[in-house]
Amino acid sequence: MTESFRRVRAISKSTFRESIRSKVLYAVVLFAVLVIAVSGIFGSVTIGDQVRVMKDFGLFSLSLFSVLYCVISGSTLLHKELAKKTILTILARPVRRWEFLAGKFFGMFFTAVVLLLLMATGLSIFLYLFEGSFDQRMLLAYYHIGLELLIVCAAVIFFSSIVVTPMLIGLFSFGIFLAGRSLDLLLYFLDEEIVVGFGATVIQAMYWSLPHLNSIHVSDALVYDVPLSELHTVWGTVYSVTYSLFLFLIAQKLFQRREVS
Amino acid sequence: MSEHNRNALEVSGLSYRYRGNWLQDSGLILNDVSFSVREGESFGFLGHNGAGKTTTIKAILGLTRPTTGSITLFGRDNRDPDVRKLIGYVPEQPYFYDHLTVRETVTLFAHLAGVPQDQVSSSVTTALDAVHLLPRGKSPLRSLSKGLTQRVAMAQAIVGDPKLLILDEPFSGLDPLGRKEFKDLFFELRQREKTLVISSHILEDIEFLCSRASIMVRGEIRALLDLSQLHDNVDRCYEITVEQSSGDEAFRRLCEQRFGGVGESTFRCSTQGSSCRYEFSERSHAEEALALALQEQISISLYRASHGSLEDLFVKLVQEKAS
Repeated sequence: MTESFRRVRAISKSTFRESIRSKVLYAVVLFAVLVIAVSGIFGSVTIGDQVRVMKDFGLFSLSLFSVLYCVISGSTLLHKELAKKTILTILARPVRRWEFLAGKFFGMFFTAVVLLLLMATGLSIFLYLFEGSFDQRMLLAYYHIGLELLIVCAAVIFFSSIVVTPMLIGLFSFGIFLAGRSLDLLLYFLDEEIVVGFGATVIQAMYWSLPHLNSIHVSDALVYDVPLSELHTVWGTVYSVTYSLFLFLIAQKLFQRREVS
Repeated sequence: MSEHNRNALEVSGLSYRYRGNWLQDSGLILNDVSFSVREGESFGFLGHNGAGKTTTIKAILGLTRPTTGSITLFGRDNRDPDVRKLIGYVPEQPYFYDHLTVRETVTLFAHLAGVPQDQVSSSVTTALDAVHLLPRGKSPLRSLSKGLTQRVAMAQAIVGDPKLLILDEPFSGLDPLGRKEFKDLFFELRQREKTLVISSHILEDIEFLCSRASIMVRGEIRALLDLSQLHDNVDRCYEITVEQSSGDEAFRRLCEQRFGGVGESTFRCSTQGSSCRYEFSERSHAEEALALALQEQISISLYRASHGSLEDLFVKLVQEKAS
């Protein structure tokens, strides 16, 4: 087990280094900071609470940019390994395929977390300049965005193990994020009986199989002071970890069967 | 059983069929490949391009799943990932992570090979030193030439001191100095009783480094050779060299009158620069040709009886299969 852990850590460290040394990461951070700064302008022309608009827009930007980064960098992660054949030298060592996949997953997730922390620090400083105080509830929002990223990273790894084209991996993974955020829409179709019969069964299956990112996402509730249950974060964490683990287990099963030549 | 009698690698009845999709035909890439390599032995793996050498190596490493057959490494099934702790591998075209430095790359492989944590740094230094890359430790891989990348490939293969090294075209991209250094390294590894499996197109290197070799032609093992007895397996040849300025045309006419035309298998003729080389398969024919040349006062610049080389045998086997 210790040896497995060392191998996973070595691969994730290499993946993390690759991301940290890539210019794309810094371009995303810069762009996100610019967008957050623009939110100040939006806030100033909005009737009502300027800070609330800035928080809403800032958290939306944080979530969107970190998910986009995961999708863009993650979609080429396995593809590059197979195309450049770097995977051959890795798997020629006593590395189990699940260890390789886990290393890639953690490397990508840690990079996404670092990106999120950088952007969150920028947003917090920006809000501090406006409010003159630090809203601790924002930490909870950042944490829940992190949980979303966990699921998105697992989805990227899942699609990478079954789809060859990076474009499709990216589209499917981002699709999962959008669908997970819009699950309420599916319920609307069922509640209003717009879709019935077999269609309703399909929608119900989709509802239960897609990740419930709409429930994990708490930014709106925090910005608009909607009370949250104390267990919300606990359940959110348990759900995200379980869902990601489930996706990872399927991914490694599929990757096990894949020829790497 | 003594260590030298034990097999480091045993491949038996290995076949691999490429699994095409519904638009593509599947093709037999390897057909009933069997051979074994003893511990401490240097084994050459020869074959033309597309013969199936790399596919065999990938099957040994568990990267591709053979259709039939079995592979054992040190008596254990090759599908057990732990057995790969005993193997170092240099791929045909080594690709590594561009974003890492030379030292970071070899350190990554030291961790993957299971080198104990407290020995990683010293193992990496030893491996880099062995391939003369120690001063380039901080260079990013993207800045290295093909030859230097080949050295990194060698360093990552030997880090952790594996018992078996599988080297797919290890001399590729190396300059003459690099080739010499690699050969010295291989000799040192041999002295330390490491098992080497070397796949190469450069037959001289195999002849020089290995004690046994297999020749693979179109997915089949055509010959398993003890290279110390190679000369017994390859036909001798008697060679007469005549300078073109010293009556080469006259000599050729004489030979044709006496032995029939070129290509009637009595003798072969080839031009090399300003001289012509006549090869006779029979000693009596060569001596008769020499006597004719002396009689006609044609100047002979060289006469020798030569052993056929591994290259001769290789070409013969490949041509046999093709015909």
